[in-house]
Amino acid sequence: MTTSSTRLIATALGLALLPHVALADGVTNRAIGYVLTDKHWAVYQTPNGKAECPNGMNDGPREQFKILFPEDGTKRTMMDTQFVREGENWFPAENEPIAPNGKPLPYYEPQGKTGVGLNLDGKVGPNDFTSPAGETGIDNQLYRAVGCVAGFRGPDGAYTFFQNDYMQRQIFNRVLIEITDVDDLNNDPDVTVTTYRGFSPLLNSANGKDFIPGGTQKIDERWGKRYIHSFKGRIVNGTLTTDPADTKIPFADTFDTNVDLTLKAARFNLKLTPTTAEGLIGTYLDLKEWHHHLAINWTTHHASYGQQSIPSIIRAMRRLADAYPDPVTGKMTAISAALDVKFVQAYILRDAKKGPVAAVPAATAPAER
Amino acid sequence: MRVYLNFLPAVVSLALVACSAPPAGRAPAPQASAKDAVGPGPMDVTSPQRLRVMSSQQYTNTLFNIFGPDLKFDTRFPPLVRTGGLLGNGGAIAGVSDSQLEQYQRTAALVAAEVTNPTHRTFLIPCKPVDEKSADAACAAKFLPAIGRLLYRHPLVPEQTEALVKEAGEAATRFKDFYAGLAYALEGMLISPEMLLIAETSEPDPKRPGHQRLDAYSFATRLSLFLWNAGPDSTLLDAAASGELYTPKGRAKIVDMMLASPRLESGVRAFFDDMFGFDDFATLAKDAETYPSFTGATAADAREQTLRTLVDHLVANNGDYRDLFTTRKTFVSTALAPIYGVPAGRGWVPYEFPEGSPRTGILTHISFLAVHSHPGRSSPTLRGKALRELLLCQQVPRPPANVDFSAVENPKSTIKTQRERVNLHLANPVCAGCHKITDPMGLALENFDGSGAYRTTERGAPIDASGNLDGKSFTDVVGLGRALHDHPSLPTCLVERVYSYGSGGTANEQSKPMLTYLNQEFAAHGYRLPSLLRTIAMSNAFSEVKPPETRTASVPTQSSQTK
Amino acid sequence: MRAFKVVMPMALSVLVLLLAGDPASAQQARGKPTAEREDFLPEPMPPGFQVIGNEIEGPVFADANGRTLYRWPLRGLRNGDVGDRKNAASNCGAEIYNVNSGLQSPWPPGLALPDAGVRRSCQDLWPAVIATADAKPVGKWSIIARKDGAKQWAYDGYPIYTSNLDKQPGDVLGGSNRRARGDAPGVREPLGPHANVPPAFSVVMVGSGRMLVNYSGFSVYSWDGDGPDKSNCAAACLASWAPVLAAESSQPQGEWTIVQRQPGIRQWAFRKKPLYTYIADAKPRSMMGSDEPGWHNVYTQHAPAWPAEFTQQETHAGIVLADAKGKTIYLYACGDDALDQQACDHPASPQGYRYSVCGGNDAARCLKTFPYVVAARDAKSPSRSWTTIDIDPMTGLFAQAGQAGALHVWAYRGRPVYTFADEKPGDVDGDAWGEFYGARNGYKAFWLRDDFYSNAG
Repeated sequence: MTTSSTRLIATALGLALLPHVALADGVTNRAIGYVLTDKHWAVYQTPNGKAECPNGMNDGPREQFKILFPEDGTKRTMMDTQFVREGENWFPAENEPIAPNGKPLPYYEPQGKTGVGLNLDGKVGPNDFTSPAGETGIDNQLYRAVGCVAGFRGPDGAYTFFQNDYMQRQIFNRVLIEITDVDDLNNDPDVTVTTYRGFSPLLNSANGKDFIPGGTQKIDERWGKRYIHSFKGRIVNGTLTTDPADTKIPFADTFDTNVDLTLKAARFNLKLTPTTAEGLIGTYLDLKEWHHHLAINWTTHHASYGQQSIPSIIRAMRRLADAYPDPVTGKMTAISAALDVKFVQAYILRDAKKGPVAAVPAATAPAER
Repeated sequence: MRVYLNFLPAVVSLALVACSAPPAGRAPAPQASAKDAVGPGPMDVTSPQRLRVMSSQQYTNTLFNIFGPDLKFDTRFPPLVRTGGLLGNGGAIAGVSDSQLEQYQRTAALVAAEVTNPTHRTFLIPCKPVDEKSADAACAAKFLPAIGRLLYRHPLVPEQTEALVKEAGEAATRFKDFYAGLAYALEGMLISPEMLLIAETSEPDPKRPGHQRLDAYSFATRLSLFLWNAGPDSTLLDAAASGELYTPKGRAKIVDMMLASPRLESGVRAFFDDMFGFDDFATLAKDAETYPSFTGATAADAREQTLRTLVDHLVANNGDYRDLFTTRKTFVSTALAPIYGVPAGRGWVPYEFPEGSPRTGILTHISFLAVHSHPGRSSPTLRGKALRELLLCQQVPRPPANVDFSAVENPKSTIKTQRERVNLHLANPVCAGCHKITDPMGLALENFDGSGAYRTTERGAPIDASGNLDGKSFTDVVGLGRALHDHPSLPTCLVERVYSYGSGGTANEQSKPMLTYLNQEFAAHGYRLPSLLRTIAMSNAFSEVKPPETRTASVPTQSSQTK
Repeated sequence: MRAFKVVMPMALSVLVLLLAGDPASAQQARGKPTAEREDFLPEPMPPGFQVIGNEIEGPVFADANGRTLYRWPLRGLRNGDVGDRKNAASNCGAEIYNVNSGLQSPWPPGLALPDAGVRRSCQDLWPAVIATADAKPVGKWSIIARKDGAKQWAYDGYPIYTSNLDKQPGDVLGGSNRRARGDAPGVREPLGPHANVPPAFSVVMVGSGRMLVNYSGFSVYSWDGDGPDKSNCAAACLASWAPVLAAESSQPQGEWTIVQRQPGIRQWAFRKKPLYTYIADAKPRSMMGSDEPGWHNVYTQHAPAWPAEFTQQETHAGIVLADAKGKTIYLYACGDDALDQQACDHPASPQGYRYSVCGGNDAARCLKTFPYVVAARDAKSPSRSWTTIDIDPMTGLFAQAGQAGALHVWAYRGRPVYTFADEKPGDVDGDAWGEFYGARNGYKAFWLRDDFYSNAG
C-alpha cells in the first residue's frame, strides 16, 4: 500500500484520529478508556487451601466416573455410562447420583466466613462473607459453589487460567470501559462509565508477560451493540464505584465459541490510575445463563483437567442461589458473584462515519432477596 | 538441483568484466544513432561503468515482478559492505563467495521448481508441450528466451536461446518430463552471472565522438535499479530495443513513466532504507524491563513509519526534502502508538502531532531515536554521530582504542542525566575532540529516552535539551529540527547519496561538477525528490560512462587454485 | 479444451438452465440458484476416473461409476492417532469394533458402542477403490497393497475409498473439505483436482461458498463500479483497495483475464471483474470489505441455494442462516470413538450420541431442545444439497414410507438441520452445544460469516 493511500483510508474509515495530548492524569477531553486484561472469578484462597477446603478438592468427571462405574469387571456400555454423564452436563438431575456404595456423590463447599467480593444488597446476612480487609456483608455465593473446585482456583487452575488466556487472545472477548464526564481522576462525584466490546488485540509488553497501556481499541459497532451499557458512578480517593446496572460482556472461554454473560445489577469497584484500573466487578449471575455459559465453554475433556464436574457445580449453584426469586415458585434464579479484574488504559475509537454510539438503557432493577 | 562445481570460475570471470562492449554471446544493444539524446548536465562528467552484485531485495523484487509475489523462497544473501555511506555501493565489488553461490543455487532451484509446477505453469508458461513426458523445443523456445530477456535484462541472442532450448530438451529427455527440463534450464538462468551480476556495457556515444555511453540495455537496467530497485520490465526493455530510450523524447517519456509507476515507491524505500542505515534494525535490541513498550513489533513498525513518512512526503506530496526534519505529519500504528502516547487506527493511520509538540521531523521518530541509543539508555553521542554521518555526510572519527569509560560507566555514579554523563567526555581532552562534534546536537534529543518515548526528566532531574549545530543554537529539539532544515549540507548530502546510489558507486572527485549541477537543480526545484531523480536520470553523466581501465581478473580461477 | 470429461449430474445441468438473475447483494451468501462452477486444473488419472462438479465441494474425483473418492488422512486425537498414514497400507479394513477406543478424552476404553452387535466394518462403509491387476500408477495416483493383498488406488500417497452414503454420481455425503475444527473426529475428505486459479490465488471453503483468497489467505473483492475487464478504482478508491497485480509473465487463461492499469502494471480479473484486496482487512478470509457498498467477496461457486423461505440473521459475531422465522439453523456433527471413526451424524447412524447432548438421553426433550426444521409436504429444494426427508421423531432415524407421525424436515447434505429451543432471531445459544464445542458430538450454527473465529470456514 502506498503511504498516500494509507492516509486516505483513515479518512475513508472515518477514524477520529485528532491531534491528541493527554493530561498528566491520563484524562483527555474529560474521558479515559481502559481495556480488560485480566479477569477471574473471585475465589478466596489460603496458601494450601486447607482452611477453606478441609476435605480437599472436589471430584471431576474422571473421578466421579470411577466412583459410579468402578473397574470391577462389569461389562459396560457407552449408553449406560458415558452418555449418562455427558447428558448430565446439559440436563443435570436435581440431586447427585447415588454411587454403588449407596451414597450420593460428595460435593464440598468452602468453609469459613472469609470471602472476596462486594456487598451487593447493602445487608449483612448470615451467609455473607467478610473480606480479608474486614468488610462485612460480602455477597459471593458463586465462591461457595466453586471455591473447592481445582479448576477455579488460581493461579493455574485449568479453567481459571484458560478462560483468562482466551479472553486475552480472542478479540471476541475484548471488554472496554470508558469513563466520561471526568474532571479529576482522583475525586469526581459524578462520572459515567460505559462498557463496549473492542475490536483490537491487546498489546503485549516486551517481556511478553504483561500488557501495556496506551494501546488503541476500536469499538465493535458492527456486532457488539449488545455490549454497550452505561453506569453512573463516582470517584473517591482514586476509587471508582458505580451504581448497579445490568450489562453484558463477551465471555467465551475457548476457541470457536460465542458465549457471553449477563452481569445483573453489576457494579464496578476499581482503583484508578492514569494507566491501570484494578479491582472488582460485583454482580448476580442468572443460573440458566451461567449453566449454558459453563457447559458450552468447557467441554467434559477440559473440565476433567480441573476436576470440574459441571452437573455438581450447577446443583451447588441452585442450592446457593441468593437473588432474583422466581415470581411464581419463589426459587432464587441468580447467584451473587464477583470478578477480580485488571484493565490498562487504552484509547477508545469510534467510527466517526457512523456517528456516536448509543448506550442501551440499562436495567437497574435491584436484586431483591 | 544442478551441479555447479565448475560454475564459480565462470561467474568470477564474467563478473570482472564490465565491458565496453557486450560480452561474447550477448545480444548487442540497438545501433547508436547520432540523433540520439545527449542528456543535460555537465558534459565533461561521466559516471563509472560498473559491475554490481544484485542485492537480495533487487533479486526478490525482480523475481516477484516476473513470476508473482506468491513464490516462496528465501534470499538472505550475505550482507553487502557499507561503502561511502551506502550498502548499495558495496554491491559494486566483484566476486561471489562460495557461500553466496550456494544461496543463489538453492534459491534458483526452488524458484525454477515452483514456476514449472502444475499450479504455476498454467499461468506462467505460454504454451503446452505436445507430450509432457518429452522434450518440446517449440514450447521451450517460447518460454525460455522471453523469461531470459527479463532475467538477463537484455534479449538473448539466437545462440543463447538455442543452448537453453537444447539444455531443456536434454534434461527433459533425461527426466522424461518436459517441465523438469524447463526447470533445469530456468535454474541455470537464475544462477547465471548474467542474472546475478549487473555488468554494465558501453558503446561509443554517437553524439560525442570519443565518449562512451552505456548501451541501451545497461542504461535501462541502471534506470530500473535506481528508480524501482528491480530489473527492467518489458516496457523498458522494449524502449531499449527500439532505440526510444536514447531519443530525447523517448528518454523523457520513459523516465516520467517510471516516476509515475507504483514501483517508484519500492525504489525510494530501498534508497532511504540504505541511506538511513535501517539495516541496523536487524540487530536492534532493547532491555525489556527498562522499555516494556518497545517490542519486536515496535522495531518493525518504527522502520516502516519513517519509510511511509518519507514516501508520503517526498513522492505522494512532492514535498521539500528539508521539511522532513520539521514536519509533524507522519503515520502511526498500534505498535508505535503507546510510545508516542497517541491513539492509532487499524493498520497504518496518518497522524499529525499538534502544534507545539516536540515531535517534529523524522529525527523524533522512534526509528532514529531508538536505533541510535543503547539498549537501556539514550545516547546523545550516537544520535549526534548518526545525524552527522547519515544526514550531513560528515565523517565522525572512531573513538581511540584506549579510551577510558570508567567515569561514565561507574554504576555507583551519582550522575542523573545524559548531559552530565557526556560532560565527563568533554572534560577529557582525549574524548572531547570527537564529542564536541556529536554531543551538542545529540543532547537536543534528550527529551526522548532510548525507546523514543518523550520525557521531561531523567532520574528525577529535569532535562536540559539545549544545544547547537555548527553555530546555530537552540533550546530544544524543535530548534534542532529547524537548524538541520537550514543546514547547507542537508540537501547536498542527499544529492551525493542519491547520485552515488543511482550510478552504483561512491561519488569521487570526478563527480564534483555533476554534484554541483545536481545541487543547483535540486535547490531550483524546491528540493523535491522526484525532480532530483528525474534530473539524475536525464543527465548526461548518468548514461555516459568511463569504462574500467583494466579488464584483468584478480580473482583466482579454478585452474590456478592450489592447496 | 480439457482432456478430461466433466460430468455434471442431471440435477446440476437443470440448474444451469434455470439460472436466475443475481441481484447485487452486499451479503456474501445469496442462497439463490447459480450456474457457477469452479474450473480445475486437469491432471492425469487412472482409466475411467473422472472429475465431477459438486455445488459445495467444487470439482471432485470420482470412479468410473461416478462415486466420489475420499481419503482418510491421519489425525491426532487426544489419546492417539486414527486414519491412514501417507504411503502406507489402509487402516480401514474388515475388523468390526464393538467397543470404544478411548482416544477421545476423558472416558476409558472398552465401553460397548451404541451399535455393538449390528455394527458394520470400516470397509463396508468405506469400500476401498481397488485397482485392477494390470493397473499402472499415473501422476499422483499410485497403488498400495492392502493388508489382505488386494491392490488399492492411492492419491498423493493416501489410500482412497468411496462412501456407502453416496448413491448418485455427484453425491459427496461421506465427508467435506470444510476446514476441520479442533477436536473433530478423524474424518474422510473428498478428493479433487486443484482449482484452476492463478498461483497468486487459492480457493477456500466457507459457509457462503468457495471463496477466492490471495496467496496469503486474504480475501479478494470485486467492485460494482468497475466495468468488464476495466478498473475504475483510482485515487481515493486505491486508499482502501489494493489491486491484485499480475506478474510480468502471467498469462490470461479461461475465466482469468488481465487488466492493464498503466504501462507495465497489470491487474488480475476473474470473470471479467478486476480483483482487489481490502487494505483494512486484518485477518485472512475476512468478509469485512463486503460491508463497503458495492464491494463483494469473490467466489468460484457460491453456496448452494437454500430453501426459499430461509433467511439470514445478524448475530453478535457474524451472520447465520436461519429459518423463515429467523431462528438460527444448526448442523449436527458426530464421530464415534472407535478406531475406524465411523460417523454418527446421519439418520442412518446410531442416535445415542445426539440424544445424550440434546436431551439427556430423552428423545422427547431432544425434540424440544433442538427441533427439526419442518418442511411443507410439497416443498421444493432449489439445490441438490438441500433436500427434504422423512424422520421418525422418536428414533431420529429415517421414517418408513408412510409411517404415521413421521416428520417431513429439511436436510443439508442428507442430514436433518435443526433450530434451538425458543431462540429469537440473531441468537446462537445452541452454537457449540455438545461435546468438544459441537465438533465431536454436538451442534454448530450454520455460519455464513464469522468476524472473530473460523466458524464460517
